[in-house]
Order: sequence, then C-alpha cells, then structure tokens
Amino acid sequence: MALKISSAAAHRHQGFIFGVVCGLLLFGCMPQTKVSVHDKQTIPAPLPARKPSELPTVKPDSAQAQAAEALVDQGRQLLAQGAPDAAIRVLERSVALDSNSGLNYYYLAEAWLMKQNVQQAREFNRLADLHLGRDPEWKTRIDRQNDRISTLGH
Amino acid sequence: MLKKSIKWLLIPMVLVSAAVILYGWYLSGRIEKRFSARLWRVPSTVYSDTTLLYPGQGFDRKNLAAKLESLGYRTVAGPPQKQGEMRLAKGYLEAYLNDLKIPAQHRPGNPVRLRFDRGRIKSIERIDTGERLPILELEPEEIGQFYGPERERRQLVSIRQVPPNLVRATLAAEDSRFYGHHGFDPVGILRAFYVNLRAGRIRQGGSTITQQLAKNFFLTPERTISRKLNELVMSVVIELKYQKDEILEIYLNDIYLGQNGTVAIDGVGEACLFYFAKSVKDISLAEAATIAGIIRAPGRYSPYIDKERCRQRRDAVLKAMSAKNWISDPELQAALVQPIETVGESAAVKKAPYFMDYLSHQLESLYSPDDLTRLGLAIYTTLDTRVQYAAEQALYRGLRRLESSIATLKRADPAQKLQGAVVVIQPKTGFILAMVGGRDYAASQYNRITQSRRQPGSAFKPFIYLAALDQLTPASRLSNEPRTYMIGGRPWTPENAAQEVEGETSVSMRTALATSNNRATVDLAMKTGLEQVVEKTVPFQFSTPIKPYPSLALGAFEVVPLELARAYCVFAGGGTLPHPLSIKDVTDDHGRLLSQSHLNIERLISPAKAYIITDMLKSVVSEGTARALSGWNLPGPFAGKTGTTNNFRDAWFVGYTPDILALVWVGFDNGDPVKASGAKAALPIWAELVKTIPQYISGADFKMPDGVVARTVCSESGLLAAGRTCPLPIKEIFLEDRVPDQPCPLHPARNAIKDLIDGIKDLFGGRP
Repeated sequence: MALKISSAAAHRHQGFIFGVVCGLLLFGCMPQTKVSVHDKQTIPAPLPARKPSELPTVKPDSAQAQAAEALVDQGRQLLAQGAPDAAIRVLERSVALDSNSGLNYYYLAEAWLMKQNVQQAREFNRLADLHLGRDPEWKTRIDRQNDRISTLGH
Repeated sequence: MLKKSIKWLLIPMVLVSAAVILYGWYLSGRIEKRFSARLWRVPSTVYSDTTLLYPGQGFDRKNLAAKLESLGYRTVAGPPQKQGEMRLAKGYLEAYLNDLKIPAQHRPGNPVRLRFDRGRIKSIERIDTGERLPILELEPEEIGQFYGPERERRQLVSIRQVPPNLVRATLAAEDSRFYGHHGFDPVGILRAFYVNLRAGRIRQGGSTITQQLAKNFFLTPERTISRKLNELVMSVVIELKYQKDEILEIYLNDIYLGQNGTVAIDGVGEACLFYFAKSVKDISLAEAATIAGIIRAPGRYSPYIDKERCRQRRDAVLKAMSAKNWISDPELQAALVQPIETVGESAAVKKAPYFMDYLSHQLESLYSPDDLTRLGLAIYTTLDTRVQYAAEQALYRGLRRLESSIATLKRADPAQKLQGAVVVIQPKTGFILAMVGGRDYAASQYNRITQSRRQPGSAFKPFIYLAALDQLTPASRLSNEPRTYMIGGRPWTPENAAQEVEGETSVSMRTALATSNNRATVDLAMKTGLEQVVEKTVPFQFSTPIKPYPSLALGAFEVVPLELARAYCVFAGGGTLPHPLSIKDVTDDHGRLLSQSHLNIERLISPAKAYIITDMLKSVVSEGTARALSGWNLPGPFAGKTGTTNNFRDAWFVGYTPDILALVWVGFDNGDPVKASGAKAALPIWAELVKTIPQYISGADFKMPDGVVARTVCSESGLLAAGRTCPLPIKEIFLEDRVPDQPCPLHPARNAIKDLIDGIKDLFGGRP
C-alpha cells in the first residue's frame, strides 16, 4: 500500500485511507499529551553579589607563591561577581600552591560566608588569623570577618 | 439485500476500527512510557583535575607536550591555527588551547606560547594579544567511564547542536523524504522493492528513520510480516506523538556507529569524537558525510576498518546531497577532494583503575552503581594523570628491580607476586593526585591503599615523637640500652636494626627518629606514657584499633595505608588534617551541577609542632635511614620516614615536600618476607616517582612558623651550650615554651679571658 499525502491529487484514495488511519490512531492517542524527551532539573539561583573589601597586599616571594597570589586575585574577582562556588575552587588551588600566605584562607572564609556556611567560614577565618594575625591591619579585618561569621551563626 | 451487504461490511469495519483504536492506544502508551523515560544508558565519565601551569614551574617541554597529547592535541608543523593543535619548537611550545568547560568556569580556547628554560616554564603569553599570563589552566582529561552491561559509549547531543550539513547528510544517506512523510515512505518502499527485484537480493531497505527508530526501540530484528506491520503502525504513532526534530534527535543519538574494542560507539556525538576528536558542532561537510555514510554498516564503512570503502561511501552521500540541491557544486567539489583524516583509534581503557574503583565506592552514597552506568554524569576528580602515570611506572619498575636483585621474591603465579601500592596526596588540601592499589589491576583488583591493613613498623614512629613533644625536645636524651618489657606476662626486648648506634647508651630524640632507633623509641613511649600516646593518635582518625602496648612504639598495630598517608599530611601541611578528596564536582548530562566537594581541613596540632616533627623527619633523609635519597639528585628538601616490619613483611616509605606527599608500600599479600627494608624496597620507588613530577617539586623549604626558636645546645646533654666548653655544640629547634633553660652540666663554663686570648690568636692566624 502506497501512502503519500503531499501529492494528494495523484493519490487521493490512499490519502483518504491514510487520513482515516491517522484519525483513528489520533483518537486512540488523545488521552495522552505530547511529551518532551528531555529531563528537567533546576539549578539553584546564584547568591547575591558582595564586594570584597579593599585590603593590603602581601608580597609573594617565589614563583609558586606568585601563582598562588594570581589565583587569590581571580578568587577575589569571582567573589566580587557573586560567584562563591567558582571562587572557592580557585582559592583551593591557591592553598595547594601556598598555604602560608593566609590570603587564600581569608577569602575562602569570605566565600563560605557568602554561602552562609558558618562552620567552614569559621575554620578558614581561624587559619587566616594564624597566618596573617601578626599584621595589625589584617588582624583588624580578620576580627571583623569573625564578627560577621558570629552574627551569621546566631 | 443492499442493506444486508452494508451491514455485513459495516460490522467488520467497526470491529477493525475498534481494534486499530485499541491497538493504537496501547502502542501510544507504550511509546510514551519508553520515550518519556531515559532513552539510553549513558555511562558516566570520570575526568582528571585541570592542570595548572605558571612561570617558574618545573615542567619541561616534552613533559608538557606529553600532557597535551594525552588531552588529544595534535602536533602541527606550522603555528597552531585551530583548537587542539600544538607545535613544539626549540625553547618553546605553542598550543591553540581547547575551550575549558568545567563547573563554574568557562574559558574560551586561545593560542598560547610557553617558553622554557632549564626544565622550567619561563613565561606564558597569549599569541594573539601578546598578554603575559601569570597562570594557565589546561582542561581536564578523561580517565574512564562507568559502563553498563551493554558497554556503550554515547555523547548525547541536542538537535540544535547538530550542524545542518550533518542533518542533511544523514537524511541523504538514510531517508531523504523524512520531512515529507508520516512515518513510512511508500515511494521509498517501492523504490527499494524495484532495486531488490532487479538485483535478485536485498540491496536496499525502504525503512524510514522513524521505522528504524521503532525497530531499534521496540522490535526484534527478525524479518517477518507481523513485525513489519507493527513497525509501520508504530512509526505512524511516533510521528503523531512527536515532532520531526524530536524524532531525528532521538535517532541521531541512538544509531550505532562503530566499535572501539568491546565498547560500542553510539550516536553522532560520540562518533564525531571517536573518529575526528571533534565536537559535533565543529565537524566539516566531508566529515558529516563520512559519519552519515557509516550508519548503513559501521563494520563495513568505518574508516578504521577500510578507509577507501569509507571514502567511496562518503562520496556517494555527498553526491546524494548535491542531487537534492542541499549543497552547492563548489561545496561538493571541495568536500570530495578532502582526505579522510581520523584521529586514530585508542583503546577505551581506564587510566587509573584502582582510583576509579575508589571513586565508585565514594560515589555509592550519592549514586547507585546502576545510575553511574546510565545517567551520563560527568565526575570531575582531583587526579593528576601525569602523577598517576609516574606512580604506576615507578611502582612497576621498582618491583621489577627488587625481584631482579632478590631472586627469591619472584613468583610465577600473578596472584602471588610481590605487590606494592602508592598514593600521592596534596598535604594542604587532601586532594588525591594518584592512587595505585597494586602492580597489575588485571591480575588483582584488591586496592592495597584503601582496603589493606598492614603494620606500619617504624613509619608509625613520628606519632610517638609528636606525643612526646609536650614533655621533651628534639635535643632530649633517650636510653639506647637494652631493656626488657613485660607484655601480657611475656618478656619483650626491642632490638635495633641499625648497628651504627650500638655502643651508645643514649641518643638524642632527633637522632633516635633519624636512625629509627627501636630501643630509644620504646623508651620515649614509656616516658610519655602509653595511654597518653594512644590518646594523641585519636585525632588522626585511624580506623584501626591502637592499644597502649609498648610495641605500639614500633608500629605493631595495623593501619590502612591511605589513613597513614593522610595522618602524615598533618606534618606536611603545617598541623592541619585534610579530608582525603577524590571527587570535586558531579554534573548531569546537561552540565548542571549536582554535587560539589570542597577542601575540608581540621587543625590538629600547632604549626610549630608540625614543623618540629617535619624538621626531625628531614634528618631521616639527610643523615638517617633514608639518606640513600641523596644519591637520587633530587631538588629537595624532603622529609620522610622509612618503615620495616617484623621479618621484613612490609616495607614503607612516606616522604613529602611542602607541596606533595607520597606513600609507598611493598610486600606480599600473604605476608611472605620482602627481605628488604623500607629504604631498599620502597624508597627507590618514591624517589623515581618524585623525579618524574618536577612540576610539583618547587624546591621551597618548609617555612618555620611562629612558636619555634633555635638554640645552640650541647649534643651530649641536650642543654644550652652558650658559655660552656661543650666539644660538639649543635643548633637545635624548640617549641617556644620548651626551650632548655639550663646550661650543659657535662662541660665546664668557658673562661672569658682565655676566650679573649684565643679570639685574638684567631684574628692573627695564630691557631691552626
């Protein structure tokens, strides 16, 4: 049986039969609706952006520490764009390269604060204090950060 | 009569119609159920970590080129013009980077030039803008996949990603009237019938794309009338329920397009990667026609099987496209002269099999093994493929060397062979960079890093010394005299393995650890208090029991190697215990983030204590049981500890820099003796591994933290040498609150006048 609906003049009868079959099948299919083959999943909305504080710089003393500092800069920018997850990934890499600078820990605390994770924020704030706490200016900022963490904790 | 005839005609018509409606309704439900569920099992893919490059890093050109090759970059003669190309020249390497697409990060590919100087990266710059880059990240590398029982590889693509040329080529090859028919094509069927009749055999099929889909999803391949009718009805139902583009998308993702070993290549997305190492959106007209041509019979038209036949089929597809006016004549001519350039077949093997097993175990709480083989997840891990490769090679060669030097270690049965295991961790983050759980995964899947429990021997001693730091200092004297202890009513007398310390009644704590002195370490544990020592090991979270027996000092209690490596991270990482991390991100098949794991560290001891233990472990390498490391000409400094258990059943070396920590274990699964110490069996494997990963060895020393002070003390008494006549004063480090405050009692005070005269003599060269 040859069926072709685009050339109706030449195959009117076949077209008619095809139409009937389709109509019947369509009727049979009516209770169901058209479906999409794709699964649907939602992504959580990003957290609001927050500007990082203006902070004094700590001079790195090796190629590795310089790379770590470049990553801290990237992390700061990502935080400024309100992307704490991406910032955390970058700052973690910075820790792997140079865990003595303390800057990476400070910004990790900031990122976790942005994600409202008090426990992680507190741990990294403590580590930042350990490495930068002797610098009076940094000490002030770390203490302020700790206050914000405590406020969030309450 | 007429009425009767009509009645007899109507009854069967109504019955047939009812039957068709019911059958259509039944099929409709079946099709909807099948298509609304996940259509295919898509194996989850595991990726390594990204690779970080920066100026000053120890990474030579060849090593970097090897890394890029493993990422699929192709070497070209001239400057790289397209993504995935690279050029190796004298003193520099140029690469056109691929796009970096990882969760929460997207960097478009761009051309870069890396200059090298004496095995280090000198500079990194963008070729197009000239911008100097402080840091560069390379995309992650595929490590392996979690296959289901079907062993299929499939990269799902959306119809929107498929270029028009591939759509047209597929239609030209398989169903040129696809957008004009309603599930089956009578003209096509008649044409096939005519061609087959003339040929006297089946040469051409009349199945539309929709029919092929119905057959693949719902029907068996047998050739019967009833099956063909079913196929026709189903095709009509599919066409009624779904739009053309949806049907084509399912088809393009479903079709079988070749074989890589035992793994089937399904769908155009995977085929583009398999044949051309390209994303589907990037393939050329000629490549699209090649893929479309393969559909008919992958075993016959695959370029990996017969390139010439593949080219002829491609040309036929191109000409069919041209005949339909889907491509212009110049396009046809240009495509026809294109050679078929494939990327080359590489076996679908797991690159880090023990790590993959460990991962699947780690993922168990989130995804079932079945989910891993069908959901098409992307799992981004911490693994560094270069470190993994280096660890595998070092272990393989090290065990072979050992078997060559001690012939009795050789075993014919693969299951009985000498074994070894290596794990490499970043101590500050806990990221697992490499894991080798045995010498041959094919012979034994038992992961000796995560599953075995072995006595650590002397590799446990640093924890005994740490426990003592609250009372003693590295300069404190410990007894080296033979002593018998009662354990469970039985006498036990620890003996020293090293003969060089025999004869000395006491040794300093530093020397005792460096030389792995058993008597002194047991003496230390007893001085500290066994209960106290056990209590101090609790925060290190060993899962195996550690009991307050004197033999604990010599590592008599079994540990899991991964847990031992993690515990050493506390010393290397300045006092923080990291959670071992293998998985960073998991995304679904649309790239949506499902879960993330982050750096999770816990402060266990002060940076000062961690530094003092590390400094003592540096003495192990510089003058103690691991001093053979100096022969390897490695750019230290390193800290580490050897370990050898009773009857040489286990040989260990755990060594680290501020940046990387590696644990090596060597032994037999059945406990047969290795007949070699940790220094002889495990240390060379560690050294070879470290030598081949210069990118992780910066040469930076451990940074002395606050809370540590240095003093000159008498090497015999361990007390202050200032102002005394001690013959061998040495510089030692102390915790700030544990500095000796007493002068050395063994040697008299210096005579100030005599010192002055000696000083003047020195000035004029009067003393030899």
